[in-house]
Amino acid sequence: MTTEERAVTNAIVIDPITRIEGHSKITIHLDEDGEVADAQFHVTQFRGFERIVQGRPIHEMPSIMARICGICPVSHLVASSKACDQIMEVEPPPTGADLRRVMNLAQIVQSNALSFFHLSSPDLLFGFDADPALRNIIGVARANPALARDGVGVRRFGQQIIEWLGGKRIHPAWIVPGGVDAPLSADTRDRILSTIPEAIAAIERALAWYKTTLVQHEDEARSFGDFRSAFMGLVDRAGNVDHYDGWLRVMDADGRLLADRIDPRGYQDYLGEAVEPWSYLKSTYWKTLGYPDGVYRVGPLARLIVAAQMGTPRADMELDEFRRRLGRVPSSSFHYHYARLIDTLYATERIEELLRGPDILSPRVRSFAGINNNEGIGVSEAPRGTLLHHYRVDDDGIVQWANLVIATGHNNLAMNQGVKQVAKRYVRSARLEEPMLNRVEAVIRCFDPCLSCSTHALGEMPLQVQLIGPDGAVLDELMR
Amino acid sequence: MTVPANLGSLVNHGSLADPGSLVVGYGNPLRSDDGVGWKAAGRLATDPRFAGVRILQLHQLTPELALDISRADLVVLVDARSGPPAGTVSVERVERVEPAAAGGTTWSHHLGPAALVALARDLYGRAGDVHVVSVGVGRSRSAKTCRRPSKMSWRT
Repeated sequence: MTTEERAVTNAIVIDPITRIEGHSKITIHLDEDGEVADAQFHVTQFRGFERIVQGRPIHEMPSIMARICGICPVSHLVASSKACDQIMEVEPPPTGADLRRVMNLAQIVQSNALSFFHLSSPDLLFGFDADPALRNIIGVARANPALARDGVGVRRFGQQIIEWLGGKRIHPAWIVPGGVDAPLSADTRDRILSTIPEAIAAIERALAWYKTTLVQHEDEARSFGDFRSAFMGLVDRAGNVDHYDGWLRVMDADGRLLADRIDPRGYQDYLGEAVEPWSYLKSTYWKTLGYPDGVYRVGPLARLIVAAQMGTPRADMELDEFRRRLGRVPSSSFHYHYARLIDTLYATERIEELLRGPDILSPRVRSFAGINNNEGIGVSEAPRGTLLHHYRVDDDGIVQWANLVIATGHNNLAMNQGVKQVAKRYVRSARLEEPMLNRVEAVIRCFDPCLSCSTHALGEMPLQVQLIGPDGAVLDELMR
Repeated sequence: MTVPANLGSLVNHGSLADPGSLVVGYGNPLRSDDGVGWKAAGRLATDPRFAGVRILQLHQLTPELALDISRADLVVLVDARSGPPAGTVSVERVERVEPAAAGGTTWSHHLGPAALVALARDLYGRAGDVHVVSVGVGRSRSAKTCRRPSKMSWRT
């Protein structure tokens, strides 16, 4: 193929340009009787990495894709490198794969800690009607310093592992096509192992605290995205949680398997991607149920639901209690918080198991090859759920096409349902009030959406809520 | 480079080169001037006079840094600031803030210097003497700003 025939990225057309304004927006539509008819979560920003990477050599892809996000760059590094593995037709040596797992799990720990401790614990500690100005990590530090210290400690634990392995906490380039860039030293292994007992203790303290708060939030649990849907996640050969590899399992709201042992590389046979004119965030749906009925959820709650067990002792005990308290398929998205803590406990235990493996210090950590395939799909579990990178390259390894299916996109339909449910529960007039806004924020936060990843935009999410009358007029508006 | 009087007082306050000092240069090195703090920290890290100083290059200030700040005697945060003319340097001592003044929203995963100092004191009982060195970047990319880190490291 000549240079002229390759995809060229010199010109990028963004149309309509007006939609790059703002961050995210929610519109709530009222019917003639003043009741909530619909609600939409708009993501109004755009980055378009799928287009940016066209024309780039495949070996650059992991590093470019890691730049999608400053919170979960390792997730993109893993999925991208796995897609490159398929293009090179290589399997990483077993130790290389295990080291990738360690870094991916460290990423799960630090991102889950950020979500639970830094972003969600202020709501859980102070309540959803507390002054928004006080509901932040500084407020938590004053009211419950032990909880805040544990949050800082757990996130630091995950970040430190990433830095020790990859040289830096954000955008490490250590995971590469074919494996990892360098073997693990005994010193680094021992340093990581020495930090694990305190990390486990901190996570278990947070779990104990969280379980005491559950009863205070029963009303929110009933209205925060509490609806029937399917759940999807990766599982290993035994049907247990697997964050790095394995097969897709999809379970419906009654606990029946809609699909099992699906090779994720065939995702397009099962998952559809819909685009709505009011959001840059794609809506992924389960094809056999159609759009928009094919709503499913991914992420920590889905991982716990679809798996038989977690596969580590402490996390399995917590999963048993989780199921005793909430049932086999909890329907409320509020329980993402609880699931996120168990997911974090599992990841920490699993890091220790992997580091104690007899071959973890092996120098054989990377396979080398050229371009042996024109297509590659990489799949892993990111903190927020299943992540897919899909590339097509020419014979010289130049990227012609890319598609990213991101956890927040899988959850988009569910987030919209959650917002609608909260709006129906809390919008009482043609005016927007603080309790409603607080809960709209909080229901979205349950899913821990990452707009940087899913639309490839900046990470913070200032929120605008509009109440729209049946004639289309804006009745009220709140900003935060 | 003209060293502002407050920068002089910072240097006189205690030797930045002492062990127990912490320098954090933060910003995005992929965004031109926004990475000036990152670059400044990188320059200091290669200067043998600061061999005993802990030097970090970060994209932003996050709560995890509270522990480091609590353990240091002198902390210097180096950042880019839009608005002031490119290459100008100012130094401010950081005071703690109340939760209501922490700024941002609960969506945010980074903190300002004052909130970070508050967090260090609330969680670990102390915070080093924290100063922010702000390098003006004007309103656009500037070769002048990008040259500044080498001079800063030399004078400091």
